[in-house]
Amino acid sequence: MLQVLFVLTSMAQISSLVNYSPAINIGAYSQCQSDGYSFVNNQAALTSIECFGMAVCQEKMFNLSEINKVDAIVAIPTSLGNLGCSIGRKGFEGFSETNIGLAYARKLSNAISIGTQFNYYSFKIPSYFHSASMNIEIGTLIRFSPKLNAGIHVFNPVRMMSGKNEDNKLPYIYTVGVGYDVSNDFFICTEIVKQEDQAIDLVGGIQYQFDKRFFFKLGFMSENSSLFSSLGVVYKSIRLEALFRYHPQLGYSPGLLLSNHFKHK
Amino acid sequence: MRAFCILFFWLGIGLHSFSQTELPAVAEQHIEQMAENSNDVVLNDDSYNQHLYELRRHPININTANPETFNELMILSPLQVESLIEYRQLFGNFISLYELQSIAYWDVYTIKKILPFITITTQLNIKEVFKERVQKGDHVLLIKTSRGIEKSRGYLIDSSSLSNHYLGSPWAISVRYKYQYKNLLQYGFLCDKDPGELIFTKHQQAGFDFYSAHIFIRKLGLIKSLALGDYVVNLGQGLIQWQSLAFKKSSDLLSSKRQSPILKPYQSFGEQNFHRGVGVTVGNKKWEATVFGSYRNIDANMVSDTMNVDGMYVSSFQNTGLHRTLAELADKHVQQQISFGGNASFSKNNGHVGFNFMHYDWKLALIKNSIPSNLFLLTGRSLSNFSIDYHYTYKNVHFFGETAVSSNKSIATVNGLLMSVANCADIHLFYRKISRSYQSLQTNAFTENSTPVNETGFFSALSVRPVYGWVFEAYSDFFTFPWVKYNVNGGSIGSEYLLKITYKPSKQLEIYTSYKTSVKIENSQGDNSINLLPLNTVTHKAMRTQFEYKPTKSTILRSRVEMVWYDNMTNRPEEGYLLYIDWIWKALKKPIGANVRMLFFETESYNSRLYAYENDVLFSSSIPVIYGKGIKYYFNLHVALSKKLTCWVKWAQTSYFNQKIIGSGLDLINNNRKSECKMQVLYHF
Repeated sequence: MLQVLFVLTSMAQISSLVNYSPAINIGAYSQCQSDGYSFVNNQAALTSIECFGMAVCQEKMFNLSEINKVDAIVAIPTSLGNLGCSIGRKGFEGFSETNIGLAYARKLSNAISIGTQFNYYSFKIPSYFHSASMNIEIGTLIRFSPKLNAGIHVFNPVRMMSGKNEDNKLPYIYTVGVGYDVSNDFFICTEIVKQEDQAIDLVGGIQYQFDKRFFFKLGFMSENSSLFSSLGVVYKSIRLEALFRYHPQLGYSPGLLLSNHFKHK
Repeated sequence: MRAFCILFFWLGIGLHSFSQTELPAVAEQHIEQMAENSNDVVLNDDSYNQHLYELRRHPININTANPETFNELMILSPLQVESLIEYRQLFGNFISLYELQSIAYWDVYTIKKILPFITITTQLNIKEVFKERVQKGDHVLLIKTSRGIEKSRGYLIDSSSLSNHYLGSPWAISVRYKYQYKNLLQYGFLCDKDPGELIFTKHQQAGFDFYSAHIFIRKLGLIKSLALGDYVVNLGQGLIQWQSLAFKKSSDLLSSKRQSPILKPYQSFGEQNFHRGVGVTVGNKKWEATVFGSYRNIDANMVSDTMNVDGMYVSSFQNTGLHRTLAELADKHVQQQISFGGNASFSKNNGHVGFNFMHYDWKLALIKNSIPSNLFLLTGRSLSNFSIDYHYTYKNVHFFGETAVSSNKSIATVNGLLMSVANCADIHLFYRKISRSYQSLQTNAFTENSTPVNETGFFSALSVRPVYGWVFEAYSDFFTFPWVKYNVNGGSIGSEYLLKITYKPSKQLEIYTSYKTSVKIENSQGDNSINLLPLNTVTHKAMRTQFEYKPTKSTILRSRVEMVWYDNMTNRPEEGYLLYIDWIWKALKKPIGANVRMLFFETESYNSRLYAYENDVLFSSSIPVIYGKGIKYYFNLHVALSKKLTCWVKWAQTSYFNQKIIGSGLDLINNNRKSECKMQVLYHF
């Protein structure tokens, strides 16, 4: 536990605050597999929803209850564009991170969507340290064809600080991704992620609906050679996913995602 | 000695006008990948090449062939084989090869690959088949010889002053005779002398250095196969025994699953990887049982030890098959090996489960030095392995795997699945977990290490054909080695990725580009006097583009450019570069053909080395390790002097710039050029 906390907190940037989890958000570049949670990865993906939805996700990072992570999102379609809200908390009474985000997205044309999100972050170690910050992220999605989508996402382009110390800065993250719907059931995507002061991370993933009610996701992140996967079941409007991530040094991170069923436009 | 060249195999004659000397691009890449993985290992198993050669002459009858026959081709995935069998059961015998397009999971790429090896004929009755077996087969005699032109130090040393020198001539001589009737009956023998080995002298009174003979019969009633003499054994997924060719990592989705009959005849010039004795497989459609036994004298490094009850022990087995010096001759056949094993399996519908057993006994004990990397390696006088293997197909998913235990109670398991997720997309997942103390011999599982030991890993591959002419392939592999291993003084992790894009808009043109990157941990390169070197992260990247164009029916032009980047975090990053151009020609109406290559290369050291498959005489190929700076060319010529007699000649020469010597030790050449000539005659009667 101490080792993991040390790893997380000794990083020069508070990158652990960033709600980046490809196992959950892989569908952002798909027109068939996109879901309500996809906007967490790229806000432009909000435009693919057509009815109200909500989801809750819990992940026990590296199988340690002290860094339990809980996120919730709400997605609301409107005639002027779609709105999203996310809230998340990680940690325990002696260490916690909280984030709240408000997102908005709309279509500029049939081929181009754009979205943005405003975030509030809080990082707290009681009786020792507390900092808070706001930032912005912007995403766009381009549909080259009914099967091929690409997107660009920028997190914290203005390099907002979390507190006064340079060590507590929020990193900027640039992401470029491409997704291809091989069929209505099978989707592949890849992302190139550049986070400030980190090596380029190549992310690859697939999602396969192998049965009317079952699907799985599988992928990797090259920067730390970690794997992610999920197995999901769909029942009417409810969708339940068992998440599983593996880091070669820090171990396994199990999780659970419960969401309603978002219809696609 | 580091293997300078990996000799291999391949190719045949048949429908394709270039088939005698040309290899499909996928197969070339498999072999190149094997060369990269094997490093110090010399492979000279040409049995697969011979198998394809025979199949081109006598294609598989798809109306009667069983799944094993198709698996042996190593071209079809298990899903494709099973869907073919299902199609045959459902609709009856094939009337035309055009029907192949109707089989599930078969695409145009697969059909093109397999067409030269299949046919549709009516089945002969058993009596006719038996009569034909002994009368209507082919007798084939092959004689091959080669030598390096510039004599190395091992041949030039004054033998009276120094005992460590090559005793024989630099000529290599190989002779092989084989009778074969399809895959039902074959027998033959071969003899072989490597460069530097003696032939018909007092130290080599047997004549040649190596002899091998075999009789192999298939489909004899209840007896599915009977092996006498030299044969190879392949069990499960290669965790307890696998002596045949098996591919390692590649973008080809078939690479991870081991597919082969349990018993196969041994007919190659390699001197180690086979059994000598008797083996038999009996069974019906559901049940199958195999038993085999073998007795051989094998090469080993023997050490005198007065403390040992035998007065001596063995420190390692020798796998090179080379007996050129007195020291190498002293290791020849010093260890007596008895081995036996068996398999019992049950197959029904789309499932299979097998129980496998393998046991070795040696006369002299195997004892290793007490160093950390040897702590869990095989020692003692015997080794036993037991395993259970399975495969099962459910809809579009094929599951397979094997779990094994060695006599020291260590466990290894490999499990994978092949899934056809769409008409134009396949995925492949493979997980392996092998204990650091798991022990095995003559195995070849799908692992990062050359043998299955001390490894946990997850491999995933994807192949997508979005539109006609385009193929996208990618794989990722993550692996950990919990214990120290060769050149790594600690537990380590690593990863490897490949992306390959192929564009083949027509039969005339094919272009592919691949990018591969790997990150591994190795000992730092520095002061060798330090016993415990620190570990470094080593990054290796390679980018390759290959272009192939057939301007006329008789000509192929091919070119490749490849760049390698190597960084071990200690020294300056290195680069390697290779460019070659091939011209391949085969006369349309005359039995003559030739191919020429011109190759330029520049690498900063051995670390940034490259590999490139080279055309060779029939059944042979070479994958030389390319490093340094220089130029290489070769030409191959083959002429059919009559319908029965075909000859091959190859000349190759490498010139190194800024270098006055080549090689080291007894292989050192005092010249900046290295030349080789090779001749081969094949006679059918």
